[in-house]
Amino acid sequence: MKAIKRNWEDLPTELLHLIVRELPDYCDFIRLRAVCKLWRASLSVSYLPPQFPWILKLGKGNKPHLKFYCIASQKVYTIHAAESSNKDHVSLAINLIRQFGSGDQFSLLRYRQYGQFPERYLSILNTLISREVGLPFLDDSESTNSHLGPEPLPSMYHAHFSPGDLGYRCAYSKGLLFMIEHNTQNKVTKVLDIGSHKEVCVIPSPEGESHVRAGPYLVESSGEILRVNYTVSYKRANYKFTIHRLELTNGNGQPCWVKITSIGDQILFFDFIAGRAFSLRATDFSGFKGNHIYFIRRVRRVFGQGPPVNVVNKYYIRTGKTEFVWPPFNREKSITWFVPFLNPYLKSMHH
Amino acid sequence: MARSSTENMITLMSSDGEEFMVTEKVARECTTIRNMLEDDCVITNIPLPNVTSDILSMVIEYCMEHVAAAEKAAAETAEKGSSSAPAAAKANKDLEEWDKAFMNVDVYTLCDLILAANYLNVSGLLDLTIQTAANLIKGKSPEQIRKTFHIQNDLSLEEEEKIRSQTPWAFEKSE
Repeated sequence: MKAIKRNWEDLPTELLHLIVRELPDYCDFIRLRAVCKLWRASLSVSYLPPQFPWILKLGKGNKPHLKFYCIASQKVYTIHAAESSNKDHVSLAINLIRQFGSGDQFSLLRYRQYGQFPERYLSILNTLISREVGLPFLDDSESTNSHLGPEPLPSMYHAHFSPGDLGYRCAYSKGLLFMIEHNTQNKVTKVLDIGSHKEVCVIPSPEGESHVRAGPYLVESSGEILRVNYTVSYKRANYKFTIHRLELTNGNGQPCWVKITSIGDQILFFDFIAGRAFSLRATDFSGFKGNHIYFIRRVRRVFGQGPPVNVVNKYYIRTGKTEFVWPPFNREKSITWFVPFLNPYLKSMHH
Repeated sequence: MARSSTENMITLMSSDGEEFMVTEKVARECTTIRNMLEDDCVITNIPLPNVTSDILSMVIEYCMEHVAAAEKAAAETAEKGSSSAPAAAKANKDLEEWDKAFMNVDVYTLCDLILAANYLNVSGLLDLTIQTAANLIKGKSPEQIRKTFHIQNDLSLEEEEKIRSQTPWAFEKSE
């Protein structure tokens, strides 16, 4: 009566890919590839679904290591530097590349330290999408020079602007570079044409924008340029974000900022310590909702003394409510966002 | 089901020759069948050589439950003019519970259901079965995955060692 039962090994590749899309933890993908020959052949590394950014912490001492916290599975993974390590972040980076495996994903390591580049800059090149990813440093001062996350600009721009000017101070879209002039009183936005290096226009600040803290910040989000600002009441971690979208022509041909109350399916990521911002699409990640802002901040301790602590928050734009995300890390240590493999769709942003 | 008599009935035939009479509405839950009906509206007998009777009966059960839930929701909306949010939420929750209970099957049946849902193009059932399979994989070691899905380990010790050495941290127990 019953037909022969099918074997899971023989599941058609396209159906196996559907299952993989529902595995939000990178390590589940790696372990699935280690099950049998057929599955390994079906699951080439390029089928890794887009990964929700991890929270990365650096560890030093006798055994330098990188720790990753996966928000999706609430698990921590530790990558140790090679045995022969000289406790240096270069060897750690080489080890990281080796351990991410397969060579065809990450291959090139750059280590630069020039006079014009006071901060050492270390990066790996994701050859799959020709995009450079900066690596953080094991720095004694736990300073602000971690460079991680999808680079919003092609690496050539590191030569034009010092690293501190990158990140959320600038945004890049369709051949135009947007920069907030922080030294001007009303923080206008300058628009530069990348090709000609000419200034295209200067966009006035949105009306009624209150300038608090170091903001506003710029982030490119699915082709749009967003200007993000926030206020906070310290006692209750009560944040309020204001978001403006750049309207390049408002009928009069004048570019202007338009206030928005939703970013739809996008999720914004800020690292207010390293000064980085990027935007990803929620539908790419199983189990995550759009219209949220995830951000890393350094805050003073409410009780007691000691150095400031690093916190991760999740802000829901619709309700204005802030929640905490708790990576099980020592909160005094630097943390930042890390995207295991960059989303292939980001590739299209440059074209 | 008095209304059924006035609806078009379609006969679906499984690979092992068993016939299932269903309403056109239920059959249309399968996009593959809906396309056949739209190409040729007089068709009443559809052979499904890729689906066995035990699996086909489960697919039909799933489609009937979901059609009934949709009809109930539509009737309530028509009656009250608008659907009440709490009632709709409860109905959704009930259907989710039903789906969950429906997924209480062995891994062989799950595999057959994935293949049938894909072949018949029942998107809701495909999502449900794929999600169930993914949940069986999450957090497991390769050996635990093999055990769960009854898969032979055909990798040599050397191959396994090589795979592990590339990303040893991914095979360690997480904290």
